Amino acid sequence: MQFDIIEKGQYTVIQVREARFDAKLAPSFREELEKIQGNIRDHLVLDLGDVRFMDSSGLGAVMGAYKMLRNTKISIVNPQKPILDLLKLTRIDKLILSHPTIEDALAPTT
Amino acid sequence: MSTGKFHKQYSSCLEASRTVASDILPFWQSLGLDVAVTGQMELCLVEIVNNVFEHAYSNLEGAKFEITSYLSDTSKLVIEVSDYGDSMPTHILKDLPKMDFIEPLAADPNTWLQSRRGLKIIQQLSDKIEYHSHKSRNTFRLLRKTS
Amino acid sequence: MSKEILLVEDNKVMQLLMTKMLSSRGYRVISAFNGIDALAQLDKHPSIQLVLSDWMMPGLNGIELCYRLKSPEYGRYIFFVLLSGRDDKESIVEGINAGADDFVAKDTNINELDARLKAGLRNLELHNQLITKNIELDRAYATMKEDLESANLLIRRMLPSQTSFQGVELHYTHIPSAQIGGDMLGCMQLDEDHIAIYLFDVSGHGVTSALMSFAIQQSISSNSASNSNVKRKKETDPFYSLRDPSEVLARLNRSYINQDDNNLYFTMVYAVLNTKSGLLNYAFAGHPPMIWLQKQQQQCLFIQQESFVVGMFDFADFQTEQVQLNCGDRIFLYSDGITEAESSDNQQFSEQGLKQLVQDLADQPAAKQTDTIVETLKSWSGTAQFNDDISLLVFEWKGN
Repeated sequence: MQFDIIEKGQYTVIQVREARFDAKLAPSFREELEKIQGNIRDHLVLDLGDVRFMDSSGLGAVMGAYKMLRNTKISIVNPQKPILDLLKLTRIDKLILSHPTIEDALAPTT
Repeated sequence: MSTGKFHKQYSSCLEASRTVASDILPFWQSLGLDVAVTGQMELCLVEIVNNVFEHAYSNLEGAKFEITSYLSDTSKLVIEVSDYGDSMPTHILKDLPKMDFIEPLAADPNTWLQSRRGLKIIQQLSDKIEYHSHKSRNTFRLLRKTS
Repeated sequence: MSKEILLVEDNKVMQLLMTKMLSSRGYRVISAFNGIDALAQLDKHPSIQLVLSDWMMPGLNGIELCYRLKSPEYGRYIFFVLLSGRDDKESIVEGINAGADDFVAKDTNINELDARLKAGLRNLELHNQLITKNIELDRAYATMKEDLESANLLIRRMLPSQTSFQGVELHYTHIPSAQIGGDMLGCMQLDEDHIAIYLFDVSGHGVTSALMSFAIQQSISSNSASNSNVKRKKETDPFYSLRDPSEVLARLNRSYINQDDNNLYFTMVYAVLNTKSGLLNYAFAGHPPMIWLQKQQQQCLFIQQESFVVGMFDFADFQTEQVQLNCGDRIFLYSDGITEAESSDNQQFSEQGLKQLVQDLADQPAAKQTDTIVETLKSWSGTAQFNDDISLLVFEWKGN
C-alpha cells in the first residue's frame, strides 16, 4: 500500500495514497497497520482523499483496524462522495466519524 | 448511444474486479448512464466478482467466470455474472431482505465485522437481484432502473 | 510416506483448481466426483489413507461418506478432512459425530490447508506404526502362548506312565498352575523288589523353573545305565546297588549347585520302597512332610526331616531314614501348592489341615482320596485355578 504517515501531538494521520480501497488493498492495509500498531497515538486519522472507490473489503479493513486498536479513536477525513455514501449506507458513519478536512478532525470537540 | 452488449470472460484472482471495472465502465458510459448510477453499479459488480473469487472458487486462481451487461428493452441495466464453482446456498438471498445494516456499536464487538455486508450493499443499490444454478453454472443477475 | 490424497468434490472446476493447488504442494491427488465414486477410488487405490471431501454432494454426501469410512467395518484407517462451506456451522457438529478428523473452510488459504493435511499425514504415520507394533506384539504373544502350551504337554509326558507295580497301588494328581511351573513327581521300578517314589518342587515359576524340572527329572529317571543317580555300579553280581536316598539327593545337589545368580533350588522327597518287606527308606531336602495313613492303627502321622534344599548349599548333607509300613498303609507325598493354598480370608490349608483331611478320608479307596482332596482344596480356595502347582502322590503297600 502506498501511504504517508504524519504524527502530530495526539494524532497519527495515515494518508492512503491509493485510488481503490478494495479486496486487493485490504490485506496490505492490515499488514501496514499491524507493523505500526504500537506507535499509533490516541487518535488515528485516515485521510482517504485519494480514494475514489471503496467496497465492503475496504470497510472490513477499516473495521478491522477499529478492532485491532481498541483504545484508539478512528476518524476518516477528505472522503470523496462515493465513500461518504457508502459509509452512510452501511451505517458505519455512526461509529467512524468523517470530517471534510484534517483540521476539522483535529479540532477539539465542543 | 450504443445499445450493444458487454460480454467478457475473466480468470479468477484477487485483482480481477479491478480489470472488470476498468473494462465495463467505458461501456456503461457509452450507454449514456448517469455517473452516480455507474458508480453504484461498479460497486455492485465488484462485490459480486469478489464473492465469485472468495466463495464460488474458494480463493483459487485461474478459474473462468463471465460478465454480461446490457440495457434491457425496458431500459433496465442488466448485469450478469456467471461462474462454474460452488453454488451459493439458496437461503442466503432469501434471508437477505430481513437483514439490515446493523449499526456498529462501540460497545458490541459482534456488530463490527459483518459478513454479507457486500450482498446487502448490492441489494440496497439494485432494483432486483436473482441467483440461479443450472448444470454447474451459477449466475448472479442484477437489475437496475436507469430512468 | 507418500502424500497421496483422495479429493472428493462434485464441481469439476473446483476439482481441477484444488488438484492443481494440492499438486503444487507435492500431494499426489486422486479425485472422486461424489461419495460413491470415492469408495470406488479407495478400492482401486488401497494405499490412500487421507481423504479431503466436500460436504454437499449428490448421492452420498460428505457426512455420509465420513460415516462409512470411519465405521469399524471399513478395512482401512482413514484420516478424513471435511471441507465445510462458510455457512455450514451446523455440519461441523454433524461432522464430529460422523468421525471427521478435521474441518477446513473452503476458502482457507493453501498454507493452512497444507499444514492441516500434513498434520493428518503425521497422524496416519503414527497410527500405522501403532498397528504394525500391535501386530508384532500379537504374534509374539501367540508364539509365547504356543510355546507354553507345548511345554505343558511335555511336562505331562514326563509324569509317570506306569502307576501299577507289584505290591503297590499308586495314584497321583498333577495340576499345573496358570503359568508353567516346576513341580514334578515320579515313580519307577528300580529292580524286582524296589520302587522309587519321589516328588520335587523347583523354586519360582515360569520357563526357567520348568526347564530345571525337566533336567532334574531326566537325571533321576535315566536309570537304564548301571551308573546313574539312583544306582551304583558294582563289580560283582548283580553289578549294581541302589543308592541310598540321601546319596541320591547329595548327587543331585552336586549337579545342581548353581553357579549363576538365578537362585534356583528345589525341595524334594525321595523314597525307596521294598515291595517285599514294606520297608520305606527316605530322605528329605527341605520338603514338606509325608503323611502316613496307618490302616490298622487308624491314624495319621507326619514323616519329616529338617533338611537343606537341593542346589543351594555345597555343604548340605542329607540323611536316610526309614519306616516300616504295614499292609494297607498309605503314604502321601505332596508339594506346598496344597498346604499353602489360601482361602478367601487368607487362611492357608496347612499341613495339619491336609493330615486331618487324609484322616477323615481314611476309608475311601486311594483313587477316590486324591480326587476328594483336590475337590476339597478347590472349595477351600474358592477357585478352580490355583496359583501354584498342585502335586499329590499317594501309594499303598499291598503287602506281600
